Amino acid sequence: MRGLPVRYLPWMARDVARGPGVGMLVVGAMSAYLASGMTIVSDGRIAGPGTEVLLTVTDFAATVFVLLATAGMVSADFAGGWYRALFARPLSAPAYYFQRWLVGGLAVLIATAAVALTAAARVGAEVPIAALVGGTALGYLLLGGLVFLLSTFTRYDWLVAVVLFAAHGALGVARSFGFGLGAVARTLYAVLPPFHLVGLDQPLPSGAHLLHAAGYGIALVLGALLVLRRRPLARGARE
Amino acid sequence: MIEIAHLSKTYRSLLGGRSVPALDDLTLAIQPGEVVGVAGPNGAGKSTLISLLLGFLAPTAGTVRLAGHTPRAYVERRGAAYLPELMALPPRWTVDAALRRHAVLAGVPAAAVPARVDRMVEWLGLEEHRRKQVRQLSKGTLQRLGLAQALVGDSDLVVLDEPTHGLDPVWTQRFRDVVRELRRPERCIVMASHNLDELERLADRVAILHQGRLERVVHAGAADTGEASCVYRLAATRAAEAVARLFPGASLVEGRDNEWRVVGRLPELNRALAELIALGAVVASFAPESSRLEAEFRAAVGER
Repeated sequence: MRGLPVRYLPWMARDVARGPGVGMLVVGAMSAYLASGMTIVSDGRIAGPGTEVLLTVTDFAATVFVLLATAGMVSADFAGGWYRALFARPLSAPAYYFQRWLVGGLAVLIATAAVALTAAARVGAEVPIAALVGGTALGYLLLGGLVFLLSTFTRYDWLVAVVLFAAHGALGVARSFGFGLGAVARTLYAVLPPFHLVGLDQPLPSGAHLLHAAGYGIALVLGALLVLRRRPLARGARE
Repeated sequence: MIEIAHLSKTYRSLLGGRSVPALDDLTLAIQPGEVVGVAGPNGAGKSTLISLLLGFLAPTAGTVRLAGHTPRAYVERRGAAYLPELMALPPRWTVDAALRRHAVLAGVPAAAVPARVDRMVEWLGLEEHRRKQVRQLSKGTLQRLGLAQALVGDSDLVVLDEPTHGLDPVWTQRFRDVVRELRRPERCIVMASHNLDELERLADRVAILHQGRLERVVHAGAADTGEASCVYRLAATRAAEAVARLFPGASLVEGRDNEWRVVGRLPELNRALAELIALGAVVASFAPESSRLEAEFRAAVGER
């Protein structure tokens, strides 16, 4: 397999900036405004759960950023038929899309940090940068990895990911309230990506939880690369 | 360079319930320096063959080897100049950006990219469209851009699927010059087309497919050598009696008083023609009614 198409990196970055980047800018600006607006400042000091509110809003924004950065990442090229001219080049599909996924991740990191730091600067709060970067990266690995894998199969990659994300959240809430889950629901909760371990409004997971979350995310990305490597690029003579 | 052995491809539905055979036991070898045409009616398997050649599809049976490699391994290593039948590029890309992107992906050295792009723009007459977005292009211009993106690299494998589709007559003619310029001793050019005249002019050999099978391979230049017996149309005045005598089997074209259909090998027909003129006939035209390739094509697909 050929290596990453590094010389194409500026074009890829430009595509992300002009595509998902526009949505990120809008969502980011709204989130920063919302986060700073919801943080109560009294006598120049943050009152109540100020930083937590800020991080909760940032966490929501980061989730949207991940979806924006990865939606249709692979599937759009195939649906549009652009892949034919693209992969007639001396270029490997897994390497190309892995690089694209990394560029998306970088965009998510920058956008998330920008939201948190802008909101924090407005209210004079302090944001734990290392935890913010680590949490965002782990979240991207998990949710971004899921969309990447789904994108090799369907155009509705982001929608399916949202449904799975919501299903996992709902099952988690039901579980925390002590509702008895059936065998199917318990299995589903166990096999879905462990989104509950990752969040900017909670401490970075460690130990077995970190291994579980990171391992799951890496498996999703490797799965996507394996599908791109093993499955024929075309479905038919012209598709 | 290209070795295709017992290649078959059957499309199967996801659950395996329905299967559609597209190619059946195709064997063909293409040498470096050759231009090979692929002809066949709709659904004959031309586009499937091209997808298999580039490794976009996996064969159901048989093998394809490009310089000893699997198609995907070859293309990932060396790339191919490929013009798809339905040219598709992201609609917001400009012509200039599309060519620069493809030049980078094709491995053109950074310093050479501007010159290579300029050359393609000039060669394919895209100067006035350079700043336009792909979505603003007409079908013919998009086809020329498709050809430009294919050729912006420097590949030894050129695969063109219906290359003159959507081109106007001027650019169809120019395209022929482009293909002639592309010929190189180390380069294989494979061209699928419905246009038999185009294939006859450009290809060394034409593989005729029908219902997924390779029916025959025609050496496209053979008609010019006069080896084959062909049907010609002869239009001449003051020639009625002489034509019947000099061209055995000549028959009058329906509704025309001075036009005949004559059959024979070119040298014999030339001799008869010279005699006809010597007898005082005025020959208005003498042209093949159909090319040898067309005759072979009709025979291969079962049409008369």
